[in-house]
Amino acid sequence: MKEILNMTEPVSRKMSADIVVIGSGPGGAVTATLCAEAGASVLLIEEGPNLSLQSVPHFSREEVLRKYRNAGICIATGRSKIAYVEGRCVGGGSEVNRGLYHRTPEYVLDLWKTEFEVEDLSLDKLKPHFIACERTAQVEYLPGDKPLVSTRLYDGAARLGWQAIEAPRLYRYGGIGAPGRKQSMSETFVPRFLLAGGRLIADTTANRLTRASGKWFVKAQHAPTDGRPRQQIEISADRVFVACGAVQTPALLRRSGLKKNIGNSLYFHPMLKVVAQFGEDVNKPGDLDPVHQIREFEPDFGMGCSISKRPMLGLAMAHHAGHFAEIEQHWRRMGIYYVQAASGRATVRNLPFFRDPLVTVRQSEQLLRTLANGLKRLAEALFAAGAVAVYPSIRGYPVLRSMIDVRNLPDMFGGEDGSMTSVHVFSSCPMGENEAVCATDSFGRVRGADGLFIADASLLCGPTIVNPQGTVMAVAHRNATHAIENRFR
Amino acid sequence: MKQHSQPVFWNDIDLVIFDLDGTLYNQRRLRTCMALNLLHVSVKTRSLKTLNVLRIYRQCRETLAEGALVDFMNRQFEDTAMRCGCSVVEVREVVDEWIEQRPLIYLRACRYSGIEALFDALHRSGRTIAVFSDYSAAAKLEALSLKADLVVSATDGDVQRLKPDPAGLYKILNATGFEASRSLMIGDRFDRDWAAANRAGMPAIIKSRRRDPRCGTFRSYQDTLFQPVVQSADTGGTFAFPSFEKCVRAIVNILLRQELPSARQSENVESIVTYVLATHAGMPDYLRLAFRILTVVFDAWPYPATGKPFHRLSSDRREDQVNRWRSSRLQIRSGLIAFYRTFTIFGVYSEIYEQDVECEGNPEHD
Ligand SMILES: Cc1cc2nc3c(=O)[nH]c(=O)nc-3n(C[C@H](O)[C@H](O)[C@H](O)COP(=O)(O)OP(=O)(O)OC[C@H]3O[C@@H](n4cnc5c(N)ncnc54)[C@H](O)[C@@H]3O)c2cc1C
Repeated sequence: MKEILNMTEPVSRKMSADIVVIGSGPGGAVTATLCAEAGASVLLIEEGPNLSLQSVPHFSREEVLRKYRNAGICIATGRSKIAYVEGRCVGGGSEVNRGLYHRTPEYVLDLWKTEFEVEDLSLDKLKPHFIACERTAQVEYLPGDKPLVSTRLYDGAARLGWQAIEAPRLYRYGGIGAPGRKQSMSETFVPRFLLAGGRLIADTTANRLTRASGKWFVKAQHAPTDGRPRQQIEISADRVFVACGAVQTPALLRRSGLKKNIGNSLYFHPMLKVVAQFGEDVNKPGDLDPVHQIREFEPDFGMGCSISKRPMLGLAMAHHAGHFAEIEQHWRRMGIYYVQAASGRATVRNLPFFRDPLVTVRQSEQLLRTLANGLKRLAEALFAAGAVAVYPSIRGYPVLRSMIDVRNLPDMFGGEDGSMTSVHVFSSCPMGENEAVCATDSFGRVRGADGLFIADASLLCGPTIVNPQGTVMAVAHRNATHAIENRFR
Repeated sequence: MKQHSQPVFWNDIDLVIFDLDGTLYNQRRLRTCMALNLLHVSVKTRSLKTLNVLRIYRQCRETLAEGALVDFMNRQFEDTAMRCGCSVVEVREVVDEWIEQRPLIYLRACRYSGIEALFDALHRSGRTIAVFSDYSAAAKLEALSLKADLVVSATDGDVQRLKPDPAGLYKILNATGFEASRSLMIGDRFDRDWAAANRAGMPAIIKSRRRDPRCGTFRSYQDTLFQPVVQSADTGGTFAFPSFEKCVRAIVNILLRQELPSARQSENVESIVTYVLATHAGMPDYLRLAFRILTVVFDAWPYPATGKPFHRLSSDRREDQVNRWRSSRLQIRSGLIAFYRTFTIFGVYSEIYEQDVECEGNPEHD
């Protein structure tokens, strides 16, 4: 697999292809693979570096510096800001995420169909695309004993009579005791794309798209990380699929003069975290990633368990005095948990003289109340699971020692302290026939731009409520299949 | 006043590290005082035992320093006890009385002239002063009426090595966040002080009557070598410009001091600073520029009151400024500290618990 991934294309000042796919995250990688397998000459360009999964330890600061956009600091500004993260490397977010997997809930697709007038969209119609993607990027349940830090959440929910599940992951566990393998794009679709004759160039940022004489021209900068000089390149193609992720896609399109319904409706799954301390050890070195989730309160909010290694515990406990001593002494008894809802609407705008786009979010009072309620419910589940203390990762919030403390928490979350974070972004260029709000038609064709498609999380009409990567891949598969069948017209 | 060596470029020096015995006070004079005292006691008790224990104890330490042993603390007492034919407890008592306690009485009288003015000038110029000694130093420094920002001894739990091993110097560099090349070691022994500094890549000057090819030397603290710093402090100190990187380093230092117990403060500051700077370099370009400007403003903030940038203030003053900004109601000020705090905390936890973020599902990493 490593040799295949190294098959990157030599770069020259002028390049051409039938199809250029910009961005190699789940949306771009799936699209590029199908197009290459259909016999087209496809060039996949990626802004970030081409690194293997093992090149840096997962969840390390090196990973954040090398594989995340903006060294992990992206901020949606506003009165209640959201600190969000995105992947920036071959494979995009799939390289750095945990791969918790869900097919889209039916009620979500129904809503998209009615509000956005998306043609031919239902769970049944999407099912073959889920199945096709799952054949390459495999999805498995954790074999054997589950990590205690994860089952605690499940136990708490069960005691309260709430619905909870174990989520499968895009991961091949390889049996009990055997090393597993994450099913990121660099391990799955990207090698398949290269095997089909696709060409990949990493370290290359598309800056602008222009159209002339029936062709698209992608103006890009190739900036190798090995010290070779930067190079401006121009790629001509008949068709372009933009799959830069839900923030960068609208930024690129707006920079290229395409603005209708583009970058006006970005959504997040903002989350609040807590650290729960139990009476006995739950956090063991070498445990596999936690997988349990509480779904009782969806679509209002969901809950889950995060990676709970000591550097993450340090961050999550930072607002509490004496965090170092607490963690040093009790880290084996501690786990990080989150509650997440759907954010208010955000916009993506380019600023003159700067490259990075400005994201501005407006949160409704309703959301801030929902999150405050979600936080209380999360603490309730953790106390039901045997927690002896719950530390909210929010400035000014006290340590909770009992349900009395939980009831005293505010009914509305302020959100000014930056404690709201998100790893899910989508919906900035929704698909559908409702021209008042949609940027593309029901299959990702950008309105008024012949041969230009969007193929990533931007297309989703709204929050997925569940983890979104499964939906991003299935929608990309559906739309690419449709485009190929219709000869990209 | 004759000067033996090339001048020190004081503008390039942020941190001055002094050895203690023989550097800050006249050791020969102190030994004479102690010898007379010892003689008096020996005559009175009609025993040379104390004298013998002290002589052998010093010999043992010299030998142990050559061997660069980690566990020299116990060994020095055990070896002395064995060679003198007495118990370890007895050796400890003699050492405590004659090396730790009694000299304190005479120290002040043996202090080198000019050292107080030099300490004062260094403080006023905003430089950081550290003391690094093979013996415990805090009490001696107090007896000498001198104040340093940081005192490190070879006997500290996280050092445990005698000079010329540079472990103590590394601890000081880590704790203060200064680079070795911007620090200066001042000592009285080439084989210990110069050698330790040299191993740490730090310039050094040695108090000596002779010139030496290894480094600059000086005879006294009235030497012209020290005049630039003493004089410029008299006229208000050397002007230091605000500096983004130096300010980040200084902020990270203070935050580590606040967030970690003292035993952990010597964690690799340089790597944490590098991580924080890399994070800053990667952040969205419009925020990066704003943060850079705000950080430089933060560095320049104390000018009106002190004439110095933040990174040149004493640790206590730096801490005070960080606390004020952190609790400021102006979000722009508290946000700056919150940013550096978040990444310092993630950086230091990642540094300490590096093994935690290895491979998923690999139980070997405890
Ligand atoms: C830390 C983290 C944890 C997550 N956990 C989960 C999870 O457990 N389960 C789940 O389902 N989802 C999870 N997600 C979300 C999931 O990863 C995303 O929904 C998914 O990656 C979105 O795919 P995408 O193709 O839309 O965009 P991305 O994955 O963001 O890929 C876009 C790619 O385009 C590149 N690009 C951007 N601009 C340009 C340009 N101008 N030129 C060239 N290339 C460009 C980027 O560098 C990037 O590699 C997580 C995300 C993160 C960051």
